Amino acid sequence: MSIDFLKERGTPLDRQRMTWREMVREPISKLDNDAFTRVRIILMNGIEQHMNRFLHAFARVRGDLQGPLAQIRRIEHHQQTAVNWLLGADHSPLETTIGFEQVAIEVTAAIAQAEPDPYLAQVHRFGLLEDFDHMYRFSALMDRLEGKDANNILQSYTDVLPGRPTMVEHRDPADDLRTPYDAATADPLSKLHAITILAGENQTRDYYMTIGPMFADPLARQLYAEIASIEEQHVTQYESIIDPNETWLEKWVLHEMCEVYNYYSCMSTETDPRVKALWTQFLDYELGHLHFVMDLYRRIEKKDPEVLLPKKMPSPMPYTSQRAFVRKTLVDEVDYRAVGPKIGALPDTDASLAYREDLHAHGVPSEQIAQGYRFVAGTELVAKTNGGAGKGAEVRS
Amino acid sequence: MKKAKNHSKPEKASSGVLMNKTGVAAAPVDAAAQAEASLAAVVGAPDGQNLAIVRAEYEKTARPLGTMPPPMLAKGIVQSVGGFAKGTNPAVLIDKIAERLAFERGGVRLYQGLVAKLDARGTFEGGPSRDDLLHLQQDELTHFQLLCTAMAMVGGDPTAMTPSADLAGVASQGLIQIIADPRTTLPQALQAILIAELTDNDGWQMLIDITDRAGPQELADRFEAAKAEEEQHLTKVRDWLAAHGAAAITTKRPDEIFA
Repeated sequence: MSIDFLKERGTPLDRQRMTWREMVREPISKLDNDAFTRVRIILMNGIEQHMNRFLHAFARVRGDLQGPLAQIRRIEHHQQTAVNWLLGADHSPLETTIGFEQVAIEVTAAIAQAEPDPYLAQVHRFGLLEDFDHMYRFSALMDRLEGKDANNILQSYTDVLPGRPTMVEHRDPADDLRTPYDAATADPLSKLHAITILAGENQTRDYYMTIGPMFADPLARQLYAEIASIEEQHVTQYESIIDPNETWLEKWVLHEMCEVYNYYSCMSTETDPRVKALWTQFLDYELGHLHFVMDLYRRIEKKDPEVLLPKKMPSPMPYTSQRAFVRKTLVDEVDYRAVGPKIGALPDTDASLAYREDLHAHGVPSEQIAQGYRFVAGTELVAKTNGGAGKGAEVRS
Repeated sequence: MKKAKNHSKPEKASSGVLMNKTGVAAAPVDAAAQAEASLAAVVGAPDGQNLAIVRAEYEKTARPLGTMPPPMLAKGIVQSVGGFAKGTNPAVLIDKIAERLAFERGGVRLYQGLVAKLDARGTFEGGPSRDDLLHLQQDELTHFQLLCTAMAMVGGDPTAMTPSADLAGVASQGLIQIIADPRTTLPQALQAILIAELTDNDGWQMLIDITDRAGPQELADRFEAAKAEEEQHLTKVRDWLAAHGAAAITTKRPDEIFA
């Protein structure tokens, strides 16, 4: 059921308070909850974290708005706490990593298909195949370091296969910059997509930078260092597709709309009633924020914020396996390269080749960890057990 | 007035040699000031109950870590195909098999880490040879294979993560961290494998006890054979660590003990 976000004004700001007990709820079950519930939690944590980062940056350039920015930011911070604390402590950092990459694959694939602008859809597909490869590398690490099967997190929704090899994803910074959409003519949905993916990539970068040094294994530490560097590139790519000429307040309106849309998508698709209740509560919070910021926009920029927004709530993000689309993209575009803003069957630039050669001079962690790795349900030791037949896979079929 | 010496053995900036700075004896002056400030702080009467109260509150409403995966066969068929005794619950045995399966599979990776460490650092007098470790690693793989077969026999899914298998993973995290850390010595890593082998021995015994009561006798017999091998593992690891301890306590090169 859709909602009219212009009429619905959500929860008043002065009623957007939670106790510590309400923020720290019972976590989801790693074993029993649907993988897409975890995907939603990870994405929404990223969206909230991105909002925090954005609002802080905004406060540093606009003294007159520091009050309202602090007010909204504090609520968003507590929302992030409630969302992120839903992950159970039996998720190891590596298991959560697999969850992060499942977000990157399934959410990016859904967005790439819904994206109305062909160039931006291409950018999303380009990033998708890179994150797809990260899943393969981290699954190999999980199997070979911890003896665990990534599929217990993926629940068979997502393939574990090589994508565009991580080792060739390293590019000169100039080759990560794309052409931004034009804020005046772009479809509002394209703007919501860009913010969503940017938020997801930025939290992935931050997460890997936090947990990478917590691993004792030197190859694991190297792999996190390598893939965190690609996530930094992805942040560079996705922020470059956003029109830099949007005003800060315009961006704030769009960020709030992005949160409304994403909580609406989560609420519409959630299968766990307890978690769905949280998405519903936070959708109401975000509607309150959206209208608060729209009013600021009207007052300060003296323009109608409704022209920035979609005419009606876009269809919710599907939160289902995008396997067929990912496989087709893999076949069609795995060899694509980026040359400045262009993406296609192009040769790497000399600058990217030189950059890569320098980074890899002492070895390539993503290649070393996954050498000869083939995903088998139950871990590759099952394949060893059955002469490569893969008992686990047989049991599943 | 002579300035009071703070750190007991200050490092020379140019030497590059670092020294342990934990504990109050390493910084007596600062530690005394710190203790004085702490004593002067106004705090309420000690009450260690709050932690327990909040824990109890969450415990009351907590849902389980997870449930057992659905049986791959209908209940009646599980009972007969799996060879379960009447009136017993197959899920209990399946959960315990999954726990050992996860542990043995992780055990293969732990021994691979030990072999890598031995290759890089060598062994010590009375310590394991490379072949010793490879032999134990192979045993872990064989036990993993046995447990996969056993799981199929009792109608379970060897690729599923049951609650006990999940916990085996949580409990093993520290062991992986110790063995995979390039800064740890072979004896330090063996100390971690000792924890694994001690747990493994008891784990196999519990599995045998449950299988004796509920499961097919054929499985119980095969588990007994695996347990006998695990007992040998434990003996070996204890012997290696004992040899190291005996040598270390009388060594004339104490700097080599932790290096």
